[in-house]
Amino acid sequence: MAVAEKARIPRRVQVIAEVLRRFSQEELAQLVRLVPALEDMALQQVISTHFRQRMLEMRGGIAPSLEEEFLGGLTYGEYLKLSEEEEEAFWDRIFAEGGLEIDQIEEHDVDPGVRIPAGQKRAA
Amino acid sequence: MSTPVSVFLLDKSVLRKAIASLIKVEFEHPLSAQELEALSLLYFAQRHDVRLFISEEAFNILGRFSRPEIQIVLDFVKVMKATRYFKRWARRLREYGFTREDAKLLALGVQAILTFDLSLLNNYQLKRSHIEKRLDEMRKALPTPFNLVKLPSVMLPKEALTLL
Repeated sequence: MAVAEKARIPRRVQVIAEVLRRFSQEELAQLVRLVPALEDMALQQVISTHFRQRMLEMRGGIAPSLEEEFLGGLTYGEYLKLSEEEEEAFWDRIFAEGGLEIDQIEEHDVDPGVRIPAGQKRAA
Repeated sequence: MSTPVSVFLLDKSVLRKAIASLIKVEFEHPLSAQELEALSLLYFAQRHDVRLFISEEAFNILGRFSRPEIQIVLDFVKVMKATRYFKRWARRLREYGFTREDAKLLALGVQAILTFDLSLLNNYQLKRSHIEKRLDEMRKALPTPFNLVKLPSVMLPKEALTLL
């Protein structure tokens, strides 16, 4: 971690971090049981890193910019500023544009080897 | 003993949270609890051999867009197509107060539907026993394998994560 970045972390957090570095694996596990949010954060870190890497590969190693267009005329920056209600309305619009009436949906034949939802095999 | 759930159908509320979570990951914004759940679902389903599906309609809508966040979500799911009697059952489900979108999902005949939509969850729980009776009546007239179909479970993604 860069010195400047470390300097921005409050002193009390740094003190606790110093103590935690001396914890055994078992003590760290006990701590996580006492503070489940730590596990959620660790999980989020692992998952975020996995997907961030995957998206970067899809973009040929070039990180996206906030000015880049996302969908529906919005840039990524504009999308990230939407409130929860605005975001829901945005997606409702996207899905409504291609929405079908029940009678417009095509019914397909069942694959002879299909497994039905009950988990049972189709009768011969 | 009940059959383990290995097939989940994602509704649009879960899909949009998954896509939003990927955007936030890219720009290093913190994820909401629901966004983390949606993203965790993709991550763990792949590792536990659980199949995630979306409707053919949702696939056709999202498939028009080439954004990496959408393409990654589509990489993790398969398409659930409607089969015979879908329309008949979906029309009947509309009579129980489900939206057109929800009736279409419920009629696809999967083991479990995942949603963040509490109105769908609550309405389904409230009317499930009536719907079950209606399905029983309909099943009697159907050939195999359609007469073996069961109602899906409708649950929040966080419940599904406990099953993986």
